[in-house]
Amino acid sequence: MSKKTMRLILSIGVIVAILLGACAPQATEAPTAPEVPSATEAPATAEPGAPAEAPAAKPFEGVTINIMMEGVPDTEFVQAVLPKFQEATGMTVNIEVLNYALMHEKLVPQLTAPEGAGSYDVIVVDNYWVGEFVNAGWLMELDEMVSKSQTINLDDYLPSMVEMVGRLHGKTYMIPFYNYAMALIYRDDLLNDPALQEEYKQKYGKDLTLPASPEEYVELAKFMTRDTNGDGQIDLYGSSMMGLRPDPTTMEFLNYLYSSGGRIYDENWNVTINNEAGVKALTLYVDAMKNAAPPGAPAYGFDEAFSTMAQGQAFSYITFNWMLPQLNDPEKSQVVDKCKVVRVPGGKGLLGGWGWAIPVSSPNPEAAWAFIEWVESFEIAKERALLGGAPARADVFEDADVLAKYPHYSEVEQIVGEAIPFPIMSRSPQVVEELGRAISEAVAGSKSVVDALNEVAEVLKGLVD
Amino acid sequence: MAELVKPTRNKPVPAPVLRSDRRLRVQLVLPALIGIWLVVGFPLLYAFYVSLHDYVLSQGGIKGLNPGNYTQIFSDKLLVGATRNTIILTISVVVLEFLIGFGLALLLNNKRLRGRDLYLLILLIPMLMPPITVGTIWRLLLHPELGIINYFLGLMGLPQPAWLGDPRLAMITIIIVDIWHETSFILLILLAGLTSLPDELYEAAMIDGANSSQQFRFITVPLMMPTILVAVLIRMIAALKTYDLVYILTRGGPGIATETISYYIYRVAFVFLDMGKSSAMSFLLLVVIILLTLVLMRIMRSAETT
Repeated sequence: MSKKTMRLILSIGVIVAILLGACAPQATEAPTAPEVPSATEAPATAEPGAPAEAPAAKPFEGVTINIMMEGVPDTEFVQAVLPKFQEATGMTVNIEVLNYALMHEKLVPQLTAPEGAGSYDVIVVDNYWVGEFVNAGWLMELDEMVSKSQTINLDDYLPSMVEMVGRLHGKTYMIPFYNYAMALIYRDDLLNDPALQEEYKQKYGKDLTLPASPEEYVELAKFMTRDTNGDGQIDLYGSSMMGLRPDPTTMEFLNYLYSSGGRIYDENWNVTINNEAGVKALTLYVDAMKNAAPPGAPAYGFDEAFSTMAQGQAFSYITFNWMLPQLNDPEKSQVVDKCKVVRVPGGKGLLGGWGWAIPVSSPNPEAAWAFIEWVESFEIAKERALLGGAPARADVFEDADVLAKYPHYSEVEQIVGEAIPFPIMSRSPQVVEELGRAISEAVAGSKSVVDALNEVAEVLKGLVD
Repeated sequence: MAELVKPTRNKPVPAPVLRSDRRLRVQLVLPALIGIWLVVGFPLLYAFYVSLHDYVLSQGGIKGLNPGNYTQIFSDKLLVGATRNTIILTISVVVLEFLIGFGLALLLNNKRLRGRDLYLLILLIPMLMPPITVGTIWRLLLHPELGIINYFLGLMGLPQPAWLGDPRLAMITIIIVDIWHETSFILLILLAGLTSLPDELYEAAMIDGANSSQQFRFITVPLMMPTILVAVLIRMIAALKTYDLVYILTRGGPGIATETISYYIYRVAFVFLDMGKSSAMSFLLLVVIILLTLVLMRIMRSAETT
């Protein structure tokens, strides 16, 4: 017995020794490795973004950069066009694709690493993180690089995108990547169904049309919730909602809030979430969740809400505008060509978006910038948009080829232009977290709407910068 | 016994042997001790140091001393809810998993049972799966509209509940998934204990005319006590730290119906980036778990001796 234990302890000791031995050289290598190529390659970065016709000059031969991105369609489109860049520059681009929920907690330790000692050369920044990342000093200023750039001019972007994931405090920290402005996707075939139109008119004394306010939307969603095949079970829901904490429910609710005239904070950073508009919005939201959404919706995330819609079990849902192409994909959806996208009822949706950034801890900022210049150049941005990407550049939105393929993009451009972003502040992720919990508590009924909002208002007060 | 040992200790001759033996032991254990110190001891002490300071990741390095991290915990309303949830979860899963696991172990311990190894293999599959897989699979199975569980319930004309969306059901659902996942662990330990019980005792009991329930009560249970103690302790400690299933299945929702202590600590540490407060809570949780373990061990020991 004691011999066995001894052996065990010894072998653990050996393993520890091996592990420590393995770690040591890595740690010392890390800072030196990236400096060699970046120092020698630096002069060549003058014209890297241009589609380098001369095949002999591969300015980044042997250079590798790492990017962390979310597993979403727009990331797939970047991956799809990436071989061209690798071919032209010789640079190897590793894209690490993660689930959204894992990104923030994996990024933060990398961003707190000393200058040049992190793992990621380029990162994509969600608008919720902008205040936190910039105020903590984790992102490089890009103004000088942008001013020298031949492919990137922030005036080409929609102003709402630049305001959200571009400049902060008068300096450029990000290049807008793609928008995820929220919109209403609804079943046009059901809206134009004569039987439903007749029934609606008899019930409410008015024509069945698209709702113009959150109240009308909830009323319509409740009307659409029904048993269509007469088996006594409801099989069509008015709204495929997502009540999962923290971000799905927060994002969905903010459309109700903004369109009801409410805001989380006013322009002087006073909490206004618990004012009359806030109470009205959350009351409507809870009403919709209870009476117009699938019974499991309080635990739905993006995937579940999408699949309910894609299976034809919902009339509508409030989601990202670029979910429409997904719903028109016959492999994923049973409602192909039946849906349309419009601005959220009441007109003021939540604007979301991602921006490219170079962390201060980036081991190779020159190569990182070369990649951003290329991926955000008009040609590549257009190519990504044609694949189904969600543009951030106005010139891509208005491009004839893009509009020919996606006629609804003129509507989307307006949606993106008018939508309101989440407040940009150091503690945005915490605001999402707290707000998500409060909404979920009101939905679960463990707190009344007023109590939930009043309590969270106290917390939100303390989160202002 | 005591008289025999004492004189040998006082004898001068074996003493140097003992000493060199001890030195060898120390030398052999030393590398491991250094390793453990580096990978366990140092981070633990550092976490304790952090727990006494203001340290928010997005606000630069460690700031001033703040023992308030600890006192703050007791006025945290959310933690009260999380603690209640954790206690409900822990008691439910430990009791139910023990009963089911012990029952299955007794069934499988029957040597005349055909296909015993096959049953055991099947029953152990859940244990071999990582919690993230288990959670994701169950999230799909439990989908109220598209999940297969509600589909079959519907075929049988039974109600189709919103397993994770209903605040009254969400915790029960997590308990069910945890039981599915972890019972095989208890089964494995208890079965190993049962198979190592000596047959002679049962033969002797049978000769004395003891029936099977008497055998179970007077032989199996007392002899199994140490094994049961180990199995229950390990499960209890793990259940008190439940995080992964909550993270995947509900994110603590709906409302705060399924928020556990560990999930709350995760939120404070990795969403709020407040390392000081989260370290303080983790330390308090550690102390509570150690105390509970000691109490449980004492109870089990006294049950064993009587």
